[in-house]
Amino acid sequence: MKRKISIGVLTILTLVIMLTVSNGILVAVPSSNKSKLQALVQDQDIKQKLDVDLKDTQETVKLDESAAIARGKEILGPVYSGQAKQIEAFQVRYTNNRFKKSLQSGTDLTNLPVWMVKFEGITLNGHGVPNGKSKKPHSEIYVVIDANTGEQIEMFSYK
Amino acid sequence: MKIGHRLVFSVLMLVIGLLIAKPSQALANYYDGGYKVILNLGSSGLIETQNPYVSSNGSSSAWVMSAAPGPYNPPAQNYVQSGWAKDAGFSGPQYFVEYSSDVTGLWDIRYIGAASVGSTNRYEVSFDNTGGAAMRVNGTDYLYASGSTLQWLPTHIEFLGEIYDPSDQSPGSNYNPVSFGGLYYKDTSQSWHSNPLCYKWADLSTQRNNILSSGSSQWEIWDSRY
Repeated sequence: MKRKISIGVLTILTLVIMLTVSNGILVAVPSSNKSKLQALVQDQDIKQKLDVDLKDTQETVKLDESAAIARGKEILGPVYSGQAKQIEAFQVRYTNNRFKKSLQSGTDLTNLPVWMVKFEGITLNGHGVPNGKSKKPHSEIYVVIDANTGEQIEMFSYK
Repeated sequence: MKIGHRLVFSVLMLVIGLLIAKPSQALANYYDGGYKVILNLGSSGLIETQNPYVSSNGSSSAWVMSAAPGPYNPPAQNYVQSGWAKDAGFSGPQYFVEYSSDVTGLWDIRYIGAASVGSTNRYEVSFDNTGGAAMRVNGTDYLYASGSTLQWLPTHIEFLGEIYDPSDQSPGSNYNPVSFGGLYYKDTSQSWHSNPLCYKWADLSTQRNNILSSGSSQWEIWDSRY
């Protein structure tokens, strides 16, 4: 009897895993993980490749975390957001030293409160060439959103 | 092995198989437009923006590129690029800038924001004397790749539309083709030259352009199914 029960439990568990994986069921993880936020703020690729400086912040903004994730999904669209195995939002102050103003509205990109919504587990191929000898698909993309207006500041992917 | 054990084993194998299986990736993208083999340090052009149909795993884009091809010509294995792209699931075209180095294995992409359908914008890529390259839209630098990141210099200029999948609409339609014009390239002395004569490229029979067999310096591209 015990063996039958354990087989049954195992079968149910595996079916749940299958459904979760095959349907891309997502869990928006709260960005309470300080270590992840600190790693993001200190990411040298973002600083050096993208000319973006980030600072940790806890200020009050108009968009809360769930609204930021919803806006991120809206901007990125259903295909890549549907592929994502994990979606997290990080509230930071964002300074873009490459382009100083947003393209859409000319918002000053100095010390701007933003949400950076990270979609992890996607397959992004870019343009110009399919996967080359050393060009591999990226698995992450960030959607950067003005934390007060919801404006798309940019999307970027570097790994 | 008892039946119960076989059942558990089979279910586990099925789960592992599903976890490993991935959708098939496109082995080739498809291009429509003009290119020229020439040592250069930059390229620039005006491209009209449209809002093509894109399949659920597809992409449709139009861009300028300075490149150093690998075994194929195009696509290029090394490139810096600026243009517009409507990728799978996007509500419309986005301006984008991108580079890739097959030498270092690095590539980055930045989407800047929604591109206004019907607008014509200048896209430009420009190498400096350190071997680094800036990628621009309408005169603004949106991305810079350093010489140590790229580690190659361009031998081609390309002004192309691109799709991932034959079911995607290649930019343009019979009645509203996408125009390419105002083309420039920058020589190895950092001087810009207008109207480079480019040659025809079209991978699919449905990808059309009006580039002359003798070459053209402005043209239109379209998808004959639309």
